[in-house]
Amino acid sequence: MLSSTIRLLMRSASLMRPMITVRPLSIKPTLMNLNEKRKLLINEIPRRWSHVHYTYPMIESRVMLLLRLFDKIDPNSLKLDSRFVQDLGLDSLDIVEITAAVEDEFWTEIPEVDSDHFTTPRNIIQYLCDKYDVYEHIEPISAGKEYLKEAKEAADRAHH
Amino acid sequence: MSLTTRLPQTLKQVRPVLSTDHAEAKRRVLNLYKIWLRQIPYLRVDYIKNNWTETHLRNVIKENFMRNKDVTDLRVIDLLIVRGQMDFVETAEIWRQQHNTALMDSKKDSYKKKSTSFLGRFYEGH
Repeated sequence: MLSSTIRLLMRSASLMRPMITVRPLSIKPTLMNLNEKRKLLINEIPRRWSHVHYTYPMIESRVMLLLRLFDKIDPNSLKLDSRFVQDLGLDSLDIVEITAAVEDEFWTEIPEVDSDHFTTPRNIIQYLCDKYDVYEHIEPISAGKEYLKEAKEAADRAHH
Repeated sequence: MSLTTRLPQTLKQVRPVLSTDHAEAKRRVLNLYKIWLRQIPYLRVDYIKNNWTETHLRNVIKENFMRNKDVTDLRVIDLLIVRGQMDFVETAEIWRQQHNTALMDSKKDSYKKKSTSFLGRFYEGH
């Protein structure tokens, strides 16, 4: 009797858990110029819902936002295909910092074998898409329409 | 005939400390850098009296890595990596006192780039 009530309680507790949870912003202040950039860009951070799969625009906008917030990158000269070392003037240590930031952002661990090949923003996006089985032109049903619109807008803004 | 040509082949190849080639050494260096980066939030808590900001710590760590950017000898790089790891353990375990974190404050280049000109080398004694 007792065990069944406990089980029931536990089940109800799991039901009580809200379906939709807003993920806390994981972009750490380590990589931000807190004073100005954050004020401008904080509204552009797409939220991730627990039941929504990653989409291409979502990944793209988040990676691009992360890169724009990075101290040593000039957000105006940042394009999808600009090379970190040659075009943006970063060195290998900066790329390590970027990798760490991406790891923080997507809550994963990126092995060094893969992070060695991060030479452009597109590489990073492509890597993450491959990791999460995201294809550019396929939109998962679980992603709500409003969300998709939002993410697309953010991606457009990332492209200027 | 210079010295290097006269030396037997066996003397030229020295047993490596850790890494066998530059790619491996670079990997180790970047690994160490990442470890340091990841430790920053904890450093701030552990050494709270030093009142470091994250930006400052990042700059200092990078500076400390860039100090040895001109080192090309593999064995020296390995030695520096090991030293960096020991430094890391000391810092992470709070074996350092707050006044003893010279690592975080020093700004000197420990390794000077060798000059290529004849006179420059002459002045250095080579």
